[in-house]
Amino acid sequence: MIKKNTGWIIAGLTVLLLITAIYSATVGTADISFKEVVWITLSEVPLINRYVTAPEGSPRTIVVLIRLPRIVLGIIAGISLSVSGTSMQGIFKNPMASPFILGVSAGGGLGAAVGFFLGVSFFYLPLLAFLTALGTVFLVFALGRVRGKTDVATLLLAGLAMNFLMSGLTSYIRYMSPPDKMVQMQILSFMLGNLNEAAWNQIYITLPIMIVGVALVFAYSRDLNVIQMGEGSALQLGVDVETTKFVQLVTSSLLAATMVAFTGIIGFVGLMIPHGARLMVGPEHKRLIPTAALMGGIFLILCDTISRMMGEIPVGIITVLLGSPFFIYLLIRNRGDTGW
Amino acid sequence: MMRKITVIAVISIMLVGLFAVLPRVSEADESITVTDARGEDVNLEAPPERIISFMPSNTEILFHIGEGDRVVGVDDLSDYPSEVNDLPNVGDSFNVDYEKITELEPDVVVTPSFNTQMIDYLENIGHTVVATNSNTLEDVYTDMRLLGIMCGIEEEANQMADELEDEMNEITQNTADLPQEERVDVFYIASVGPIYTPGNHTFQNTLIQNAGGNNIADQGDGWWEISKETIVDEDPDVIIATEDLEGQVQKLSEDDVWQSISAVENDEIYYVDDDIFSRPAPRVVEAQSTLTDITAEHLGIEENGEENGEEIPGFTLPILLASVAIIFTISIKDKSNQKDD
Amino acid sequence: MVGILEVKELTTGYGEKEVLKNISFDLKDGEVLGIIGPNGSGKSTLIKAITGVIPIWSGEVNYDKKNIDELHRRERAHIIGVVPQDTFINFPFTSWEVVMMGRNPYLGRFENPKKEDDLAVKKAMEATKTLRFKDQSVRELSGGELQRVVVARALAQEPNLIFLDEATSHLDIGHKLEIMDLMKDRVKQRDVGVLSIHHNLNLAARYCDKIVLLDEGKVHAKGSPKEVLTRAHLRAVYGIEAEVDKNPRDGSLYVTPIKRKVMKEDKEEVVHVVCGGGTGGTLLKELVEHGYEVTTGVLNVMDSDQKMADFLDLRCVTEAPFSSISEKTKSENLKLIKEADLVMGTDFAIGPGNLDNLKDLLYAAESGKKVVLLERTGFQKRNHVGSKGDKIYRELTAKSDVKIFTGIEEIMRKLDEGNI
Repeated sequence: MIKKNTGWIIAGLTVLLLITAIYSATVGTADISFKEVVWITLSEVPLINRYVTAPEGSPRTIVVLIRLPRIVLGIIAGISLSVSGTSMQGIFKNPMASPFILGVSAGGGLGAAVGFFLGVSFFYLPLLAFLTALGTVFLVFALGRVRGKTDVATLLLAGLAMNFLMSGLTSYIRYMSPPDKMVQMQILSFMLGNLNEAAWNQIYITLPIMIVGVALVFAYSRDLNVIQMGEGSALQLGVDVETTKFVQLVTSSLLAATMVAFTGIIGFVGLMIPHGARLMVGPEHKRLIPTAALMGGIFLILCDTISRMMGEIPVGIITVLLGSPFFIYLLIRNRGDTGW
Repeated sequence: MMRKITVIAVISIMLVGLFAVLPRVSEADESITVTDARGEDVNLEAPPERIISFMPSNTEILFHIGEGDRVVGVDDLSDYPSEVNDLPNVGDSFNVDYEKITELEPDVVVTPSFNTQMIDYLENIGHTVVATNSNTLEDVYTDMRLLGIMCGIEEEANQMADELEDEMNEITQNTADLPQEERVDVFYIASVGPIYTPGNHTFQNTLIQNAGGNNIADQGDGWWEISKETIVDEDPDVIIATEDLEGQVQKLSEDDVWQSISAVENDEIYYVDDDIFSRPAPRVVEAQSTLTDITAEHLGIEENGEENGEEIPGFTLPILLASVAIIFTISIKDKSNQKDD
Repeated sequence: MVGILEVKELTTGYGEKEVLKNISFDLKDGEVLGIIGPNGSGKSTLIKAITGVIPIWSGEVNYDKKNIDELHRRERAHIIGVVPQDTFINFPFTSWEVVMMGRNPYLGRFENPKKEDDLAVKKAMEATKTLRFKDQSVRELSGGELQRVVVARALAQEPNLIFLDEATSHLDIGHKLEIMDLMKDRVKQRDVGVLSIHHNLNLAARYCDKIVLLDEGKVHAKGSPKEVLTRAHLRAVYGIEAEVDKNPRDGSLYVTPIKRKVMKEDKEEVVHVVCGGGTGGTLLKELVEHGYEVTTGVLNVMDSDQKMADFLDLRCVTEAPFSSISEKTKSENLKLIKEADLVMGTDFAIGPGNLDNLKDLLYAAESGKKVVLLERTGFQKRNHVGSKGDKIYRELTAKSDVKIFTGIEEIMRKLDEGNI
């Protein structure tokens, strides 16, 4: 029954994503009317712009250079984190796994903290965070590989250990940085995640990574289904388990690391959205991945809109505050153990 | 008669034409290039009519040099002079309200130079940025000159900077160059639990040095967390703490270990206004003279209050004038706003 | 066409540890091959090695003369379908979705299930009677229902061979037989060959055409059930004494384990039990089952306790039926008491004929042995020799190393805790 509805659900979510995006574009400190937003946006679209005259000046700057990149980056981050979380939960066969389970966030956080501490320029900071995030994941992989095979239980523990180590080092840097400079606040701001400084050049980098990453995770979605039967059974059902694990873990870590580099650590999206999506279309990954992607995009722009309404509170705080009650609700609902 | 009329007419037309041309010529002449704290040459077509000031010290300097009426928006922390409280707020360094900034259509945004992330973003969305350093005592004069150039009042600003510098020198003339052994040991508390203190290369360190003090924390560079052991070991004669810490410091000083410190024993703990003591802005004069008064007792030097007494009116006069001017312009603005309504 | 799975000299293990050594056997389509053996004999490892879950160290596995190890995983999955013992699924897949996973080896990366896949799934679910809960989450199913869904998954895979890895061990008897009957049907239609790991010897005897008996990673015996399920093989491999009889109804064999041989690794303590008249039977059995080496005496032949001792194959000092204990048997009994680490006395009735047994208990206590008395019935009620008995009993119970318990469970518990 669910199966037949999936197409409609995905179509509905796409429409909802567009509506949320448009609505979000009209919200902000500056007072710009809905009509103005629409005209300005349309005037930026090639071909259409010939027939559109839109206001110039500050409203245009606000819509085109501040709000739109922020919304688009929000969608990219929402999609990347949700798909990454879905993939991690699938590989670990555990609904509590998140995109950050292999130390991406702690590693990226350390890189950012070092960058802020040394006063690295804004341009190189994402690169530093990205490299330390991926470096941490590779360390976790090195620790988690036993006799040429990736053992997920060992990997989980290795991720936990690296998370602690990296967070410890970050705390050390925070502690060592003087209170008069911005370093402490910069690190905190990174830890909470922020879409405030989104720019188009960030989108040119993150969008292709997101597209390739999501495509790869999706390409191995049926293998992810079969792995839920246990790795032994999956092998006996013709799945190349090692390749699947490698592709899924590397891709989802890459997606998460990219987003961490550009938006900081936006928590909870990658943990919670896959649950919500599973409630709607079931655990089958071919349906689950696109659903989670769209829901992630919607959820994150919604949170960021609220963050803007509340006067630029880091969006990570909103995702957690909004996400946790929902999560608790799921927990209570599923205490009977009929499955996530 | 006819001829007379014609001559008058021609002259009038020419004058009108000249007046019509003149502003354009003078506008072209007004273009300004400022080399800011980043070393960046910032070009402005004309002195900015709309300035957003992103740092309390910048705001205070702009108002001090009489250009406060150009300020159309300030950051969260700017609170002096009091009229800035009525200006639109554009966030703080960590949560910058870029939309508000853009909506205010500023000609220039004055920012601290260390916040490169914010500067990059602002320039990226098309704003003109002038960065200041706002760290040391020297920066007060430098920033004042820099912002003066930016506002097209280079000469006046330079003069005010010189006057400020002279005044500071006068306050500290008896204390600044004292030999090490004659100095008073001063301990400055900026936060309690952990206790952070300004070390070498800080604004406060310079003020202490100039007042004939010896900052007990100057073995560390910048801000650092000092241990109880070091404090006891250095045994300061005077403790300076910010007003907001009064309760906490009093509680601390009840501790037996603290009781052994000379400053605590002799009740030499002074509470000062954090804003005045931490902002590299013109009000540094007040901070410096407060400090010098405190150390004077220990140094056995006559209080130089008399000298200050002469200087302070001379210094406050421009502020008074500026305030009047600002209040005047604001009231005009208010009226025009009412008309709009 | 009949395919043959040939396992030749297969050796494998985990890490450094060798688990299977030189295993060879054949399996044809149309027959059921049973693999039996005690825990740790390598049964499940065998399936893992053949299906490529763990690598083969040496030897080879061929199907239709093709080396199965060289086939692509997906091709191998066309040949062999496996039903594991347990399946844990964390996410609420529907039964239909789980069975459809059997079609995985036939579907390309971006291919959606086709009509033939739907049909295969439907047929498999019909055969296993699981179609009625096809839209239900597998997490809501009972263990038996889920296992039938997993069997359906293996059927939907349409393999030449189905491997059952103790697939029925968690099911109740009705479902066990249902699944085995289903497999037997498939085999009869020459659809598949079945390799089935069994824990239950009778199920193996009943359903298997051939049986391989594994012991410590080696083939101990192979052949027809009649050739493999012999008393000698069962004694050697399982350490049990068993009756192997023919089921009069269908001629299949059935195995009745009778008693368990005392094994080397069992507890080394020797317990001597003085009992009689049926008061010691349960205690003797319990002690043996807990792994103690048990001796008993003195018992009259044909006493019910003596029969139990005989059944349990215990060292037992016996006296002729209905006779008093003689000097000779008494000295034999004292010898056993001396060899024992612990001496137990039950609440047997005391008459002139067996008063010596009570004296022997006193002797044990006096010679420093720990003595445990089981007293469900008070001494006065079972004392038929008057003050003679009273005197010995009082002396006995006054010894510090003598403990009195009123139940067997309590004794066994204290014993296992090491509190005696």
